[in-house]
Amino acid sequence: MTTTHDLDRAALTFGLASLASLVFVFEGLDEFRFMTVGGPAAAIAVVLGGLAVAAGLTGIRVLALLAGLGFGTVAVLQLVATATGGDWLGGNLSTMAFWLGLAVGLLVIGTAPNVTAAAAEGN
Amino acid sequence: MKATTPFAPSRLSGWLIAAARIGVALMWIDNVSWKTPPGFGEGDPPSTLYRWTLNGVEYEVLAPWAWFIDTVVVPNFTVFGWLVLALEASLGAFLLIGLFTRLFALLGVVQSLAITFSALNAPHEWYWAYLLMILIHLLLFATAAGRYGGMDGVMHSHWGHRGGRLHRLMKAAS
Repeated sequence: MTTTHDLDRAALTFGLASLASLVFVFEGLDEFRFMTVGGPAAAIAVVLGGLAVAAGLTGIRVLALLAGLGFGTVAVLQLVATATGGDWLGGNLSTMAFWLGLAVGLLVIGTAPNVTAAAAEGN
Repeated sequence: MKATTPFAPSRLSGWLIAAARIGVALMWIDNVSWKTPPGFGEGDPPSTLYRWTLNGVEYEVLAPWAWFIDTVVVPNFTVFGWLVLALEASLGAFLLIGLFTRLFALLGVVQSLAITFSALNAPHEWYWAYLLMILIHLLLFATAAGRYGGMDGVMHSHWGHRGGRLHRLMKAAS
C-alpha cells in the first residue's frame, strides 16, 4: 500500500531533480545540454524545486500541489513563449517537457489521499 | 527458453532499470526542443520536423507509409506538428517520472516506428539507432520500468486497493 512517506519522498525527489536541472545553465555541456535553463527559468527551478523539497521534508501536501500547479503554469508559459518567438522565460521546449513531468508528478502527489504506514498494514 | 523464476530484480537491477527509463525520457526531452511551433520547419527551404517528414517520401522505406505522409500528413502539417510535439513532450514527461510507464512505453514503440519509417533510408542514418529505440521501449514495457524508482511504484498498490474501472486502467497502464 502507498504510504504518506513514499509520496513525500517522491516530492523530495522531484524537487531535487528541479534543482539538479540548474546544471543545464552551463552552455559548455554542448550536446549533453538536454534542455536550456537560464535567467527566469533558473529562478523557477530554484523556487518551485525548493517548494517541492519543502513539501517532501515537511509532509505538507498542499506545498506539493502548489509546486505542481507552478510547474504546470510555467510549462504552458514556456510553450507560449516559444510559439510566439519569444525567449523571455529562459527555457526551451525541452525545459517545457521537463516541467510538465514535474507538474504531473507533484499534482498526483498533492491530490493523493493520505495513507499512513500503520493504516496500510491494517489493510 | 522458459524462465525458471519470476522476474524479481535485485536492488541494483531496480536502479539500473530506473536509470534506463530516465535516460530514454531524456532522449525524448532533448529532442522536443526542435519541434518548434507554429511552423515546425515548414518553409523554403524545409527544416527540422518538416524536413524529416518529407524524408519519408523522398527516401521511401514503406510505400503505404510514404503515401500516408504525402496525402494525409503533409497537407495537414500544422496539426501533425502539434500532435508530434504533444506526444514527444508527454513521452519525455511521463517516462521521466515513471507514471503510466507501460502505456507510454507502447506509445514510444509506435512513435519510434513512425520515425523509423520516415528516416531509415535517409542519408547518413544508422539503422541500428532506430531498432534500438524500438527495443528499449519494449524492454521498458516488459519490466514495467516505472515500478522501480518511479511513480508507478509509489501508486501501483494504491490503485490496486481501490475499486472501479479507472483504477484498474491506471494499474494496467503502469
